[in-house]
Amino acid sequence: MRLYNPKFQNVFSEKGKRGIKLYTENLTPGIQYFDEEIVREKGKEYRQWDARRSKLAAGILKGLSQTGIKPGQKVLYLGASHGYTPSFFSDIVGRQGFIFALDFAPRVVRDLVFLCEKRNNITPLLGDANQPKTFASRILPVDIVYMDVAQKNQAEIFLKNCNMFLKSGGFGLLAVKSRSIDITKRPKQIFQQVRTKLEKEITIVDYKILDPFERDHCMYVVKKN
Amino acid sequence: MYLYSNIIGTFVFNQNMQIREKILFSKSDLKNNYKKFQENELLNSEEKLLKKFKKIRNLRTDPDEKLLSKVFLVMSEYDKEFYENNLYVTKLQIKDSITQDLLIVQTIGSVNELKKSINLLSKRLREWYSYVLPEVEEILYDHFSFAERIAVDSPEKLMKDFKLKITMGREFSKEDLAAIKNLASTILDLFDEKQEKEDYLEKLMEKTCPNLTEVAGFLTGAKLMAIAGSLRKMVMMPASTIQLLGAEKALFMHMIKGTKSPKHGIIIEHPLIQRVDRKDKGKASRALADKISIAVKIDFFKGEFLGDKLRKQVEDRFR
Repeated sequence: MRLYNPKFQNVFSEKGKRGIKLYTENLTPGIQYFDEEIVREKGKEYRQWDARRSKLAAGILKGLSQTGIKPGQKVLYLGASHGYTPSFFSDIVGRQGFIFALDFAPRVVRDLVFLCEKRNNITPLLGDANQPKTFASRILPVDIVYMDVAQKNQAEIFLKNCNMFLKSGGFGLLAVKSRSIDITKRPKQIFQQVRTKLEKEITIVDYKILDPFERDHCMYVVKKN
Repeated sequence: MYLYSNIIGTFVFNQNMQIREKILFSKSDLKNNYKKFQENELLNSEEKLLKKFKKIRNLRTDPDEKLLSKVFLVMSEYDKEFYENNLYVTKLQIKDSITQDLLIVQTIGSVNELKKSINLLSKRLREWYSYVLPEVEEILYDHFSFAERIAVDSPEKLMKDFKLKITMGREFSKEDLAAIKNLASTILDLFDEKQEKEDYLEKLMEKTCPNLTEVAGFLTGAKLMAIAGSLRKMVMMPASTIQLLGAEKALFMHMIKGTKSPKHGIIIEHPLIQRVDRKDKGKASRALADKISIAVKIDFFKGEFLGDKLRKQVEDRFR
């Protein structure tokens, strides 16, 4: 088995029979959080990153030119849910980095708390991403804002949080779910709407549709000036 | 001089943005203060420091971007405190989020699942017992009485009671028959459990949402709340959404493909709507959903009891 380093730092990939598999190095060796595959090589442990469960992994496999995520960065993760993608973020940013993982539903934050207790570079927040003021005193300015919430006003929430918490020069990643914005319209139409909203305030770096990993989803990578 | 406080503590900065004084929060401080953060109230530690230093500007209530960016540079040394305090506060928030209406959601869920299990096991019991006495399965239509008779009586007694002369069934040994009887008594236990849960649910509903119980009935009311997720979510719904709770599939098919729009969701189980003419069902469910929406709001904000009036208003309209 050969693992080689592509253009994304701390993300490893391997060519399998059914396409490319992504891996990250496990920050806490010996602990498995979800039912992911674990590979051991040269005394190091790698966790497989499933593109069907994580939109960022899907974006990387679809060929995003850059994500801006580097070791040692601070990340604000909105819509953390059970913590599948945040756990890989935590692998990528490493011990020097830090992640604020926010979700709205108490049920899923409960699962997230157990994950955070095992990894000390990620902390859970229970709050509403639509009202950044309610959790402003609990976080710091960040290098990356990643958002994956199924809300009707996704773009507005994203811009609000980028304006408040993103450092200048920092990257923002937005996973758009067209079905939760308007179910009757065609996905591409919705993606265009989101693009015009984003372009007014921020520079768009890259854009990829996440088919076939996620249906009717797309990902925007933006940079704050 | 500047004052700034966040989840880890309250800090006083001098003109060169160096920390002059700080109060780091302990766990008991956090317990008292975390709600004040959300509502932007003044913290105890802030009050104390505001008294001590006279000419001071509170950056939390009166923010300034340039100064704050300098504050955050200092703050980034406190990663460990951010981790621990946020974890602790989140745990407290999760504790607060468990309210009485969530118990209703769980109870109605267990009632529904018990119903399903009873049906599933009863079907199996009927198939199985048909090897012994297929005729009885035809006569006793009700699951409860069927299980009750089988658990107690022997095949010979059943044959005598139902005046059967010949049977298509085979004779079973004692051991084989015991296996069937055990299943029957398990089903009876499940019936008891379901009844117990329903009684508990009725009490719970009358206590936490008396108006909803009066207007919608405790079972329908609880089902509506379970689909909505919680009492709070149901309060924020408009009446038209409550009318269609449980008919999501039909609604989205209507929106995407233009099929006929649904007129009612789970609300159709209500005896009032069962009673009215078919052509009035849509109107009745609209009127009832309207009153349910009002009733839920009274329950959530702890208003006076108006359930009987609301119920009478709908009943008078569809008599």
